[in-house]
Amino acid sequence: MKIINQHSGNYEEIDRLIDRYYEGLTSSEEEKQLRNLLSRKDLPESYKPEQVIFGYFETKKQKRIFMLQPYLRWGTAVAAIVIMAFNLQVFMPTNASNYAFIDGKKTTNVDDIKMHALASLNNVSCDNEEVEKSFDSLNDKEIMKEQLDAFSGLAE
Amino acid sequence: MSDYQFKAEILPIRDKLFHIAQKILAEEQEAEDAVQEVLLKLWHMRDSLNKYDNTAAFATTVTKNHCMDRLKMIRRTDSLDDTYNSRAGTDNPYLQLERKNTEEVLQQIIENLPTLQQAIIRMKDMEEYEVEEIAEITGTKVEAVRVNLSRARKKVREEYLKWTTR
Repeated sequence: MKIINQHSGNYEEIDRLIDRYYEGLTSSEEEKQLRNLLSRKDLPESYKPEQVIFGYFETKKQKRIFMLQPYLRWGTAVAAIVIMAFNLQVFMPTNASNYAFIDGKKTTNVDDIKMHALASLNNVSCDNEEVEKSFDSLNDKEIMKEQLDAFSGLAE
Repeated sequence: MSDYQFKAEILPIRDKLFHIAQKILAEEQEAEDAVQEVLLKLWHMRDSLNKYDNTAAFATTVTKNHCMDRLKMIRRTDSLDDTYNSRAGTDNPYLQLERKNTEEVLQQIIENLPTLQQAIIRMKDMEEYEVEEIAEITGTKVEAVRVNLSRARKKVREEYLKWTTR
């Protein structure tokens, strides 16, 4: 019983949309809805004309996309060539002459490389205290004393 | 020519085009249909309209040529009717259709519609324009477009049924 109700309900909707279709009142959205309802396999024979007519228009729509816009195909081809040319110009020289290895991986990303280079410089550099200490160790007096000791040792 | 440019440059000369059409076709309804057909034709070629120095003059020429073609067609169908009647028994159009498949039949049914109805049903059912858009392009009332669309759709169904129930 439920199934029958459901079906009659759907027929009512189809009939309502078909009436509106023939009066020129349906919007494109309603026509899409009607097309979906008509694509059901279990519809009575009486819906055959609408099924055929909607099917026909559907095939014309798909053809139209290719027929009306040949310039799109050319446009796509031109765009592809331009992008390829751009890639060749911009990326090829970089790949060929300038690159760096970061953690064993080859890279051409300039920003990445700069970042890593600065980071590694930070590791090498040391703060001012360390520098002073190292200078202390090279103090003139100490050197002179060492030299004198050495010489005095020789003299002994 | 952009959609906006079309509406700003072509639609204002609609009255002028209508007068030209009426001079050639005499009947008001014929002239009205012809102008709508011309406007739809120009709409579909709006991308290339800018290459004409004077689009208004071009639209006028298109209208004149279109109306002359229409006039020839009216005369031809008048004389064709007689030919059909004289040999209807042997080779009427439905017998010719018999050998064709459904797609060809529907195509022929649509091609046999009055040209304005043909243009409108194509735009609505194949190119998915809304009725309101077509009314705007042709400078007519939405109701007028609906009437033509409705006639075209009913005619397609009627002719299709005639073909299947022969």
